[in-house]
Amino acid sequence: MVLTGKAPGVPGGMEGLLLQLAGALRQAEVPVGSGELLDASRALAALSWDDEATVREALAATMTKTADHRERFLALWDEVLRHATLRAALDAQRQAEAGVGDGGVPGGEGGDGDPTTGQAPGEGSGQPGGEGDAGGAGGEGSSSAMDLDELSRAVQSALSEGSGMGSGALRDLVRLAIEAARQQESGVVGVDVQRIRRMLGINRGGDSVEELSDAAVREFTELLRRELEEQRTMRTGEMPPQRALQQLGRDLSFGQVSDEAGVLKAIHALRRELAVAGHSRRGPRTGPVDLRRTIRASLGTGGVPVDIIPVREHPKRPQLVALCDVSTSVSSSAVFFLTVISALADAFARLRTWAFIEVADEVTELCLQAQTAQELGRRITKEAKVADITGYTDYGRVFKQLALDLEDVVDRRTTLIILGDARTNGRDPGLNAFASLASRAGRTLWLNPEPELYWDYGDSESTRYAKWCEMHRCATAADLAGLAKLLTTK
Amino acid sequence: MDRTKLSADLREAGYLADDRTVLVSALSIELGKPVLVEGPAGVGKTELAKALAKVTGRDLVRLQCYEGLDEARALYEWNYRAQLLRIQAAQGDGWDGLKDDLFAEEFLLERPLLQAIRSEKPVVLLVDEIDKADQEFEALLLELLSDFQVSIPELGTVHAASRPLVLLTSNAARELTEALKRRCLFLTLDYPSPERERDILLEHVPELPEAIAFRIAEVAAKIRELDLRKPPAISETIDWAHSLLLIGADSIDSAVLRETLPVVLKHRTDLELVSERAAQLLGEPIGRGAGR
Repeated sequence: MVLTGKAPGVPGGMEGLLLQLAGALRQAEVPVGSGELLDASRALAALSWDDEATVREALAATMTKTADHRERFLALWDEVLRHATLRAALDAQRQAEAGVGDGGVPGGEGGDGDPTTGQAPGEGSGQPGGEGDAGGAGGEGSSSAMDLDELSRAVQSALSEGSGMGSGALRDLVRLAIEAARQQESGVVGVDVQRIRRMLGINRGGDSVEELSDAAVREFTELLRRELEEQRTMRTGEMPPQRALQQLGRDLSFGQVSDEAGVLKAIHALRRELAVAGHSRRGPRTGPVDLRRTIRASLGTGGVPVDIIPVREHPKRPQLVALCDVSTSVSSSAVFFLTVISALADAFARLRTWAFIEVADEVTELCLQAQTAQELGRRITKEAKVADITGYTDYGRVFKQLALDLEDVVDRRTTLIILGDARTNGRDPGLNAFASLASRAGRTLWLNPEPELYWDYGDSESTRYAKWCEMHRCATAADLAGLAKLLTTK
Repeated sequence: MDRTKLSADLREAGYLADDRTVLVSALSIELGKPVLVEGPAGVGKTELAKALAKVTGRDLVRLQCYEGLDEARALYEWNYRAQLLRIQAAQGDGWDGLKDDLFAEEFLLERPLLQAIRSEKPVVLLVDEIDKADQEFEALLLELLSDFQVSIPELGTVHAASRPLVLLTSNAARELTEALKRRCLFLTLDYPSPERERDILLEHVPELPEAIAFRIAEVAAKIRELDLRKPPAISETIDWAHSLLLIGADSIDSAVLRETLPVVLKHRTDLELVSERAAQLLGEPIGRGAGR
């Protein structure tokens, strides 16, 4: 089996899966070179594999080289596989619709033998037979008539019993729930997920479901989302967006930043720079006259005030406002961000911090109380009110809110630091609000964890935001040190 | 490569491998790629190499890495004493007659790496604790691992007479270079589950009653969960099993645990910590924190 250089339009075969996997891994900052790809491909050819686990382990052994990368690989695996399976199913459907005789389907060259190999490892993740099953459920006529309370109870008891009863049964319940909510379907997966969850009364911390663990709710939500996406895909023929990085974020725990010392050093340098930032604006000396000093100076010219001396500008102490995105899409770099924030909090007495996802909440107090970045992360997720509906970043909403909230906080002495990936999830980026916020601040820095290459890809609005601020790539202590240097030489 | 057979063979060689280990070993044999085995000390990384040597019927060539390891110790060295003798013996021949055979192979001292690739019979090469060696040493390995050849300035390039099966072990004490990692397959080993450790114990100490073996494995797993300077290795639990057998203990209580603990733990602070929590570890309902 040799890797074909370019993926055919439809990545159905094993090579397509490999390339997709490699792409997802690279996005998660796991270096996968062509050497690894070749090895992986050779490994698959050398093995007689018949189950998903073998393929997964063989690929993990060839494509990842550290324990950390391996973890990321495993986190991505399901997502990529599901995506590939879904696409294969979609193609099968299209082909069936187009009629067997029609050979003009793009990607036909890879389509002859490959679908079997492509789908074999996907069996575990469930072939989306959504059409047939859902139709059957609807055909009974009982699903819509089925008592909502009954359904809600069934789901809740299934969840509280844990996955012991098998995910198949839970999946059936999920399908019933989707069917029941069919009339009010909005077509936006995220909204529907929330609606169905509300309908069934499944919410974290909700009064009726105290016994449900976070993990169970998450599992249910994930299942619901997948099912909705699958059905939607089969209906509209559009692939859902890949959520590889977000997916990953959910599975990675808060680890230790490897180079905390580096971060501290860089912050120290940054502090020196920002300490003098207030002095840098040197214009014509204007403003109110310092009468005492003017008169004293006029004594030298016989009392004629030749030199008008204005009131001396007091050196301005820099005031820092940090806005930190803590959503899942940046959680691979969130630990780094939080390390930066807690280092900043140690270095600057006048730092105020807001954390945000969909809503912003001030976490200045938390920053002062938390000893480590890990603790800070835990407490923000627990105590700060940063998300209310979907849990995905909504920059527009956040900036609109902050433009009002920070009216009295941000002024020309303020340096605004934003830590985030500028990925709006397709929502309104709120450029006007951001512009007004940035123009009110003396200086606006945006630290983006993504490399420049990814800016403006997909839902990233980096360049549009960058018009109003200085945006820098910053994901490691080295970046931060480079940034501090850049700022000081400027 | 038949994995079921490899698994059975490994077991016969006294190594109980999990599926992942078998899979990666099979891949390594099939693809001829080195394996980088990473994991805490005492999970059987070195044993894996020994078992693979046994299974494949090859000799094991082992290179133990340490700080300051250089190519004279790892690769080759000229036997300068013999060279001096040669010069003395050839007095009068002049340089021209001498220089050709002064750097002949008979004066070459083979060190493990060279030995591994010059061997007529294929061998298993174990580069143990690569993370202890300096980063420069890794550079030395690169040529060897990707092309199985070594360049010796005086002799030219030595190609491998046979392809060795290479295993590198690392305790992840430091980050290895990307270049080295890229040339390897990656395998992480961790402490075994109590069930697997029980099987390992029974494999090595056949006289041990099964119930005790499982108990040992369970307690060992709990001890490893504590914050210790050096968690017990598998080899140490095997020693422990031996000593329990010797003193004729038919169950593990806190007294027995305290007595035999020095077999498993080698640091005073670790010993103190575990003895302190002995009752808790064993799940005995005595002491202050009864049952909790």
